[in-house]
Amino acid sequence: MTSPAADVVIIGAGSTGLSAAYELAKAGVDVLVVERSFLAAEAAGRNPGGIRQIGRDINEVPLMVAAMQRWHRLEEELGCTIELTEDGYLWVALSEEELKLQQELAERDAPYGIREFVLDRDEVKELAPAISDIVIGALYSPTDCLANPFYVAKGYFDAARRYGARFLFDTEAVDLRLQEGRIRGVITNRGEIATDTLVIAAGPWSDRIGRMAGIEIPLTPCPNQFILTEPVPPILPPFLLISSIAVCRQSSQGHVYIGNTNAPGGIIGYSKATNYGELVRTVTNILKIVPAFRDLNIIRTWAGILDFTPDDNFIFGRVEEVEGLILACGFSGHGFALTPIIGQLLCELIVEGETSLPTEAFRLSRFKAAPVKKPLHFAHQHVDTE
Amino acid sequence: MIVCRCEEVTKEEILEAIAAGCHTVTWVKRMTRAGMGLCQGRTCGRLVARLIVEQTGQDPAQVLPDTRRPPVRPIPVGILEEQGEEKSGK
Repeated sequence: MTSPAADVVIIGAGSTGLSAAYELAKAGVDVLVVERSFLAAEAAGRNPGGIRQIGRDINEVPLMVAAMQRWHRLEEELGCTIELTEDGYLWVALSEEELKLQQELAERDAPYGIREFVLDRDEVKELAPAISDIVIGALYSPTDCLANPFYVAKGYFDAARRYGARFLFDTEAVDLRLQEGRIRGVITNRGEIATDTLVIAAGPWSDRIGRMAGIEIPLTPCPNQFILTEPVPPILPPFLLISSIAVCRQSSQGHVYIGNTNAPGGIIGYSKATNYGELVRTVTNILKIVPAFRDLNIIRTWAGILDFTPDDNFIFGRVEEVEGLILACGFSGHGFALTPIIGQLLCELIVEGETSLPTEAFRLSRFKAAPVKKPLHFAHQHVDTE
Repeated sequence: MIVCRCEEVTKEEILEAIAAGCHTVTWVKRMTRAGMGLCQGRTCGRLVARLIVEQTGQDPAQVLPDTRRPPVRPIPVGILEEQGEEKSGK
């Protein structure tokens, strides 16, 4: 082990860990990232790269607005392309209830300056004639974005290293060193690293790390399946289409991406093997929305694990029980879009002791306080309709 | 010189990725798209592995092939559609 100590150790080189490492190193903090695999090996490299402002929990909206401003500057900041495109999001409604929720959310978000429009069936048809009549309306956000998750990960990684961040790949945290209720170090399969500040950013595996410190983090691992087809002439505009039963996008290169909406209540576990039943469910659902996909050839399928919390909102901040322990996990399938702001907030928390935007609603302690109540936003649509 | 014909990835791009620290076929794929096209790396996978061995001096036996992902050959989306009364698009 060549790095026996660091001021801050981050477990996990995913979106959160990479962004935090970059921000901390840039602020002059001695930071080390411990990663059991390699860069963006899990959700950070398996997601479609969607940067969605619409349909978020109210507490996430100010964070997402700030994240979006940073996304637009990120290529310049990191000094590389991340293939950021303003292709928009189309959240299609399959029921009157869903349409009503979309109208409420559009009104709610208007003061935040998010451009979103409630469309009726004819307007959806006009935008995308390939969408079937099962769709009765939609919430359309033309300024939502997409980026290439691999380039984002690599961009943060290179920039973080330029500022002096260190990375240990193929290195797994197996235990934590605690002394009188505070963090003293991380024990890995390749030796021990002394530190007083530990950030758990290990996605669905964060609960295991938490248990090493006696902290219970309520996460449910849900594998989501993805399908990619051969490139074909345009069927849909390049927006990311989301719905309660499946998601899809035809990229500007012509590939069609189809993803499912597995959530707690569906298949649970850490297996990334392609699940045939889930593929059948996904295909059957997406063909109800875009029948023209039926004859396209599938060239690849893969899966990634989402880390759901009981209220589908992420967990962020220090924990009362263990000094020096900070959590940033449980993003419940909507973490990639928050990448730039989460790293910034972690850096502020560590360097300045407080965050510039409110994060109180995301504390772990919320699960102890009261019975979990799911507020209405897009993520819960999955859970409620499956 | 094109190494991945499906995604038109050049040898130069792959060498750049290896130089930047991509020391596995999977990592090269993720950074360059080599192996993400129609043939899913069946043509270029071994070439990429060889370039990694040449550039990094790794033992060829340690450079593992990329993850094999279904389907083995391209299949139409409709094959996976649930058949029966629920069938859509009627």
